[in-house]
Amino acid sequence: MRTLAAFGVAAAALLTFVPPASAQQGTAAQTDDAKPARPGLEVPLVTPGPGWKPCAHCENEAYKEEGRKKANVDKRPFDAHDISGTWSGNPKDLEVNGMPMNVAAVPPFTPYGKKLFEATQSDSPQWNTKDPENTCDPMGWPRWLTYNFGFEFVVLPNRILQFFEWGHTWRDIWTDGRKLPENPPIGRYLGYSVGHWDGDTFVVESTGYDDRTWIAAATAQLTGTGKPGGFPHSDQMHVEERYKRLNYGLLQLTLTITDPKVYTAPWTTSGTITLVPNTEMGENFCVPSDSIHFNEASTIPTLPK
Amino acid sequence: MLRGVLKIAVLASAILFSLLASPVLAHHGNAAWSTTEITVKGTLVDFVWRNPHVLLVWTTKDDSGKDVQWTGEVGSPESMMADDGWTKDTFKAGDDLMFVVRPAKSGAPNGIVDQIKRADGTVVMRYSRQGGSAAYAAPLTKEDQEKRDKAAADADKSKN
Repeated sequence: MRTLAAFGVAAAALLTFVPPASAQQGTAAQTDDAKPARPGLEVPLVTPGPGWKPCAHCENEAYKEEGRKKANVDKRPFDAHDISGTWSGNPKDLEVNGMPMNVAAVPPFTPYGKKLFEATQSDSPQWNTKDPENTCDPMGWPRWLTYNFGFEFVVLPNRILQFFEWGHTWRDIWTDGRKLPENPPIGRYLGYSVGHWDGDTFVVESTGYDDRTWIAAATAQLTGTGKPGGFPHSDQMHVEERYKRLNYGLLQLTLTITDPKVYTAPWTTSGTITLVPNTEMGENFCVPSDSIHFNEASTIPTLPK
Repeated sequence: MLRGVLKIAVLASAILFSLLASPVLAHHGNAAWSTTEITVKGTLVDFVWRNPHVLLVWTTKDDSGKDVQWTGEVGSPESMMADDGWTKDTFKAGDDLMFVVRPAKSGAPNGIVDQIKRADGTVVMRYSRQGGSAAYAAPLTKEDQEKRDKAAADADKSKN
């Protein structure tokens, strides 16, 4: 665990390193006569046709930034109790898609949790062979959120729908006053979720998870064994998400995982998620036959014999 | 040694990758691939415009004149739409292309593609997103591009 923690700190350092890419974009953004003003804008924006908008993940960072500028997201009036819109990961968080889990804050495992963690570890140093994603098994929660290619909150009178482009699926967050089930009859990949407002913060509580999914993948460095794996959870996992709209274009999230069967303390991750104006949800299925072909064509042939 | 494979040590790109490499790749780590780029000229056989990552399959000649089939991996279709304006019609079988790739360490004809040019020099893929979000946001600098072009030209001269 100590090794894991040490690598976690190292990984966090990497994740907080501001790359020259961001600096380059930032510099360009501040200089009106810089050419190109934002690398990426010279790329044609691909849409299905007039009247259609690109998906959140189909715009490069320059176009996203332009869209946010046009929507005046920083100063635009907003309703703190309306979190509707299409949101995606904040690029400053240095994750390809979505907000990364704070792996530096992983609490120590229980003995049972340690066994689960060891069981996730790959047969190969080069490839995460046991990752459920390899064959498009549902990613579960909160991995579906942190992996997001963009998601949309749609507010209904009795619930809030959270649509995800990756996997093209959704979860229901019930706001009609019902309580979480005490003993759900079946585990779900996305659990059972209820939400309520606590001041200006929308609080989602969830439980009843299928325990076959991972909270997050773990690199070979993070496992400390030289082979990648994943952070497990049990069917007792409870997740609390606290969403607060800081301004029109920025959503703060604090996510806390409590799973005493696997982790000896709660695991908290905080970050911000950005609104992606002028986009629409696309269709991004994880297709098992495509993924299997990809593995066979471009992953397995590269592994040492 | 493949005739069509022009070994090019690109110092700038090595530095670039050391700066931009992310600890996380979406579908596999990067341990199976070299960090040194090579340039491969080939004729496209297949353009697999699919999740999770777009694949390009091409043939190139080895020293004996025999066709060798390569498979190159780029980002997801959505990423390629976003960053280079690709669509399902961007490539077709028979296209002559030049690929800058990080080849598999195993020796398999497989690589992470970092850049693609057409035969007339048009750049159709500017840079790789496979190293993570940092690379995702970073087109090649003019200097990096010039170094790559010079290395490719030198390799061409040495071949002739």
